[in-house]
Amino acid sequence: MAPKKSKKSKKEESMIDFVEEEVTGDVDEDDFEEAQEQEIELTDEKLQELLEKYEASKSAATKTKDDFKHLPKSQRGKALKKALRKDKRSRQEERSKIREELGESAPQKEVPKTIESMREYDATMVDEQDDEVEHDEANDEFAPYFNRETSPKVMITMTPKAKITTFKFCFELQKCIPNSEMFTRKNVLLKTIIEQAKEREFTDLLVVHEDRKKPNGIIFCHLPEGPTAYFKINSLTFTQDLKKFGESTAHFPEVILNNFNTRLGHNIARMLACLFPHDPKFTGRRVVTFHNQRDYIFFRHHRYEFKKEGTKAALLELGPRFTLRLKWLQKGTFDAKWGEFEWVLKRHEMETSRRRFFL
Amino acid sequence: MDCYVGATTGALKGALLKDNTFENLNEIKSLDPKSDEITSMIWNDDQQTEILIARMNRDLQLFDIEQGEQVSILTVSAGTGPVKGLHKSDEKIVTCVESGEIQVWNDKSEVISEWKCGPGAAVMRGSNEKPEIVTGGMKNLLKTWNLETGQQIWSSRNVPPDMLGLEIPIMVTDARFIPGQHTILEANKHHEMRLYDPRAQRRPVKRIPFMENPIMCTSLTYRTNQILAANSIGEMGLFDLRSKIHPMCKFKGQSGSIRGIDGHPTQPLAASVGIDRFLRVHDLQSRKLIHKIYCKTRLNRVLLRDELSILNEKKSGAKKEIDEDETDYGNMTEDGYRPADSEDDDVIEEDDVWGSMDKVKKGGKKTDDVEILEEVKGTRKRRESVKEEVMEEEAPKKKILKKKKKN
Repeated sequence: MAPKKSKKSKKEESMIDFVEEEVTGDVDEDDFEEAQEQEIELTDEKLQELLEKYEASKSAATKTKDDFKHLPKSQRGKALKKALRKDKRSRQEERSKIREELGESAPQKEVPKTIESMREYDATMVDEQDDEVEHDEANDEFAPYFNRETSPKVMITMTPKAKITTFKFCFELQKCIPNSEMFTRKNVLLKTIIEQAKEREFTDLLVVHEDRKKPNGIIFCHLPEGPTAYFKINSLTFTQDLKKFGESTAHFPEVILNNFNTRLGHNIARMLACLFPHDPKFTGRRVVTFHNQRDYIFFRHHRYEFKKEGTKAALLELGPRFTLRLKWLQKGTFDAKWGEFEWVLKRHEMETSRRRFFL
Repeated sequence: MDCYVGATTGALKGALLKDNTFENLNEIKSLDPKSDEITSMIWNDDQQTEILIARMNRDLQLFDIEQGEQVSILTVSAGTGPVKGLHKSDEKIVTCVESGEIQVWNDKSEVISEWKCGPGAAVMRGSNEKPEIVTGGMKNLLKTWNLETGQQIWSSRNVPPDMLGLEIPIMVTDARFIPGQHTILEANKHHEMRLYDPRAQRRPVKRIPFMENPIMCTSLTYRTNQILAANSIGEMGLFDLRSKIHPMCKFKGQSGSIRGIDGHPTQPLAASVGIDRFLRVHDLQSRKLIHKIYCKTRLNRVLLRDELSILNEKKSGAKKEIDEDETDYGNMTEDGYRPADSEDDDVIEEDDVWGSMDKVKKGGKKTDDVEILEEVKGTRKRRESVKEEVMEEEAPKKKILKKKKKN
């Protein structure tokens, strides 16, 4: 729902701008004066009244649960909800009418209070013109990729004795990530796999974990120096289960990384970017999206198509959908027992506020 | 500046706790983390005006706090790997590198003596009381060395094999002398700390487990018997070396591995840094996080100054608190731990109690009870029992009467 809303509001804003431009462009000097006079009249008499009305409409009386006493108990809740929705709609309409009357001097539209917009202050939010962070990032483990010294080569493997859904998931991943190879685990230790992968010059290792025959976690290990991250997989939908889906192509995809704003988020975004080759083939019109919302990273894979001379785009989903949640980030290659952790999600210690996010 | 922090990028940062800000003390853009990473950092003198810094490329630098200047003094020549430990005693600098070569330098940057402590060294620390150093590391048992002769004084022995008869690997991460107690504390990756007494035996006299992740570093605090330890997922605990309950408390707030802690020698404060890029200062008495500074890069080492900007307002209050605590502790004095009174003293005091009890019987009221309290300064248990009697007011008199009759 959230993205839809934002789109709507944006549209409205742009419409308003458009109208304003028209008005200011066409008005002659005399007309302009008249208009000004009209406006003055508005400010003198009506404006205050309208503004008051506007404020009053916000706090207009609504239906309460006492109004539905005549209904049987099982229907009261539903009826109340319906009535409240109706009230809200009517208040909105009233306000929009007043806005039209007020014209330019209308009060600013209120931004909806969501959990994200009321997010707690985070000191690690990355400023774009920060020399120190820039220096740090220029020297971290992903720097060779961003300096175009290495090109990604990805190894995908899974838990020993993986079941069919996990294999299916790995195949889907292989389809999304170009230049990736899939291997069955065959009871080899992860640390030996890492050594072998380093020898064969792989740059990333993905290990899919499963529980109750379904993939539930994924380890991202950047080679040769780390770091390693563990993600929980949520709400996985395979391509075949989508309502409408397309067939993926071999073109290099574009990668969209949304909302990774903190220092930790930056690191994770850089890590995810390292999975995909440098120059996307724009002819393929393939997009892979990692969208971070409230610390959950949504993975989507689309093909886009421009319509009406590039003003609109249509999307065709290509394949799988899943959500990732970061559990820990470890320095160096995989070593869960002796390794050093850069960040660990401590559930009861850290999750004391709903409005605190880490990515 | 209250706190000096060494980062993995090679930046040296000075943090001002009063304002919750930090400042870089050297040029960042010219740094190369592969050669400039700060691996060790100690105070060069007791007045805390100079810092001795060891870099990844084994350069030793002297940082003057007042002038803000950095001077290279020497480059460690022997062995391979980064400098794992620094120690300064009587104008001599002791360095230890990862491959185990220990070198003693004089003030003209010349090697006086050199010896090996075995490969895989992870820590080398000196003692303030005697000319000794302690070393340890991966597959490298804890050993103490005489600084003047370079001879090994004592070496520890590994703990007995586990229940399956398998040898327990040696993974020392931190070691230090406990001042005034002749003991050595070791932290290792088996999430436990071991306390050695070289006078008694080669195996640890005490093993203190802590959570489930490798312990990365330890620190002394303002009390001789209390130490701080932190592990690789950012759990920090306060321990009392005498008690059986471990830990005394856990400190909250860290989210990543802690690389360095520094406790204040006289105040209940401790600063900790780690690769989660934060400098945190905790109050050891209230156990609360009092300062949290985001330093932008992964941090390796921290040094806390004795004179802090936050202390001036706080001083009087903090001191009182300590006094209260001291009386509560009973055996804890300013000089350190005072052993419990011997049994003979107890007997004498018991007599005193019975002597003073007569007064109560004669009709003395509260004031007499207070006198009794003052006279009885024995062990904690006894004091408490007397307190209880005082609390009950009426009841104790009857009890005393009964006891008298028995006598």
